[in-house]
Amino acid sequence: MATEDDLAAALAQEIRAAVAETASERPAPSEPAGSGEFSDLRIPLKRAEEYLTPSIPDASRLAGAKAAVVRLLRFLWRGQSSFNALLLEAGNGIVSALERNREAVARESRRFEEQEKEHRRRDSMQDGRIASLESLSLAPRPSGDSSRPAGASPPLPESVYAMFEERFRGSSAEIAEKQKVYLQFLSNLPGPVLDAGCGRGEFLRLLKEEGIPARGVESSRLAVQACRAAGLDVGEGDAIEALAAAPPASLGGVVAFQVVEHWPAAATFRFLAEARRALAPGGILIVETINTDSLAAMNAFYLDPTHVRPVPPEALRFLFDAAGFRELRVEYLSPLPRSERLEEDSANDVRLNAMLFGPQDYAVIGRVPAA
Amino acid sequence: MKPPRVLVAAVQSPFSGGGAERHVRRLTEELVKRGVEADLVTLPLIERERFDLVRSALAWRSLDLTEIGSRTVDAVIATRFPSYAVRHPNKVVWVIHQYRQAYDQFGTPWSDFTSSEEDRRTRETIAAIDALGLSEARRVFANSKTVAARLAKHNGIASEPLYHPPPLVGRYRTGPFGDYALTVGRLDGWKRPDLPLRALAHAPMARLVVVGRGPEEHRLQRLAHDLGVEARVRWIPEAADEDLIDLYAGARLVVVAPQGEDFGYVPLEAFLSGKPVLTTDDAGGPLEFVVDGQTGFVVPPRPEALGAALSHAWNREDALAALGRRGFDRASGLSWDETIGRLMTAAGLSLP
Repeated sequence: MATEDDLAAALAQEIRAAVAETASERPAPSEPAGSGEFSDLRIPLKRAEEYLTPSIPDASRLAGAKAAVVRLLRFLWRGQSSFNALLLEAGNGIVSALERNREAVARESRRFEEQEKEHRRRDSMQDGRIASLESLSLAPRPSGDSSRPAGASPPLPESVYAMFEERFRGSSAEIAEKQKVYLQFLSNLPGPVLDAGCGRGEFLRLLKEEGIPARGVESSRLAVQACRAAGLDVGEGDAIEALAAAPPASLGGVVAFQVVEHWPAAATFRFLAEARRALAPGGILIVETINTDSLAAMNAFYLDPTHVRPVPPEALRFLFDAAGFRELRVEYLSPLPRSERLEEDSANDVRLNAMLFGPQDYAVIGRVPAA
Repeated sequence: MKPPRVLVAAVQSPFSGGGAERHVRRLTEELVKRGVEADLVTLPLIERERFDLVRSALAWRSLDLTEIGSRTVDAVIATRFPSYAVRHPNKVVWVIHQYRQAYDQFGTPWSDFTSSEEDRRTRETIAAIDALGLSEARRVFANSKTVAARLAKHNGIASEPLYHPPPLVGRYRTGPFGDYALTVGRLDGWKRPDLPLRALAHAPMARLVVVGRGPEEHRLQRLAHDLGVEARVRWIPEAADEDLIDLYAGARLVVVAPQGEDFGYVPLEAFLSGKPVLTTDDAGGPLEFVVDGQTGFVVPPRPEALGAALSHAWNREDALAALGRRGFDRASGLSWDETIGRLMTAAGLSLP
């Protein structure tokens, strides 16, 4: 038995050697060593190539009889469809390589965006520091500041709040872009516009560009200085007091962006009542604040340590009504970018998006009825 | 205890019939032999146009074999695409082969699927039908490791290889080494029947008996003529069982040269007849049984390589006998007892 096994093994060995010899007579085409991710792509292309180079001797042999020609044509047709199929595979491969490439590019561009954001963050920090240094040169404020409404929480040091705003509220350009939407409500007013809490004057600048007469009031000395330096008419002080000081029916419009969340409810109502008194018939009041219906926006509310209480849209609308404003409307603004919201594939997604990732701000707009 | 009721679901090829159909008929018979109340359910697979494939799958899908004649069917053993789309809560699938034109044969001359939108969609649909039918199964068996590997590669479906003995098991016999190599099978392009013929041109002393018929018949005869080997080739288009047994028993060795065969009875038939097998290193299923130097010879798919093997082996009867004996031992290990046992266990049933 063992000798038979040896015989079989010896024969197999002999055949292997003989086969190897036939291989050296006609070397098999060597496969190019696949290089990285494109090696897969080359395989179907390589196979497609085989269909492009039919063996000539076979073809000439079959070229005699008509039936043989038909067979040959069928063979070619089959080869063609196979070739097409292989091209498809290769095409698919190219597409997926491109997809991978595109993903890589998208990844890089996201990285650049992140970096750019970081740079802007640092820029604003630097701006804040400069502002805080500049504030050192200002004369100290008189003690017993009466310009703040009673009940307002103790403010942060102005210079720190300036840095905070730079960091979190966004650049002046971004704010101006957002506020452009309000311009449509402010044409043909029966008097000038008062921007209560005008901040760095972004909206006043927009109004100036539109040729709409306006002035601002702002409690931050740093901001007031910046506005005045830009040639804007801005008074320093508390918005409610400034409004109270305005003669009745002397204003065409009052706007207050991101202000009421800094006040207790009583102050807000007093502000609305003073606005109602100071506005001429047909005059308009716009109050923008954080959208309490969106959890993402509520997160932003608590970010600012000077915020006192969130004001829900229904509550603000009620207060407008109670103060005597009419033609009330609520506008939702500043939607989150699509990438930060849920994909909406169902009615549930829509509801969840509204609750979790709804617009960040809303505004109530009301008019003083014409006399 | 009442005998378990099992239905075998299979695809029919009316007017032609092939190995797969003999396989499922035999499976049903073997179940019946062991006291199972078994029967065969078949539907033809129509391939006139692409959508016919989907229609055939839908026909299977609309069949619920849970109960027949108010009696519960305990299990269904489904086999070929798309029979495994059939509905039954206790379905075991034994994949004989998939619809290969849509998978491993795609992009070869053996598939007429092209890059057209229709063909692409059809291929996707076939994959979806496979995913559905097989994921519902209680267990998925494959006819061979080769078939299991394709299921894993193209569909990500795990399956167990389950072998079965060749059709005439128990009737094959060994015999003295004759003066011919034997090749058996349908003369179809992907079975590469031209390869043994071309090998003959490189093995001057060898003779060949070709059993089978098919679309390549005339072309092959012409090829034999052109190669100048026709005097050494005998063509037997059809052989009765007894004749086939004799042909195996009297062969010198058996040549099996298909590309990517699913399973293939021929190597097992050769082994049970005590003959070694010469095959190619891309043969697929046969390589699960033919081991170079153990039960036969495995060479690259080139005429010169097969020719060299034939030449060197031709006059070495002692070595061929040793290889054949080991092949016999290998193939004798397969039995319907074990195959049926595994199928029934997978279905949660026991034999009466």
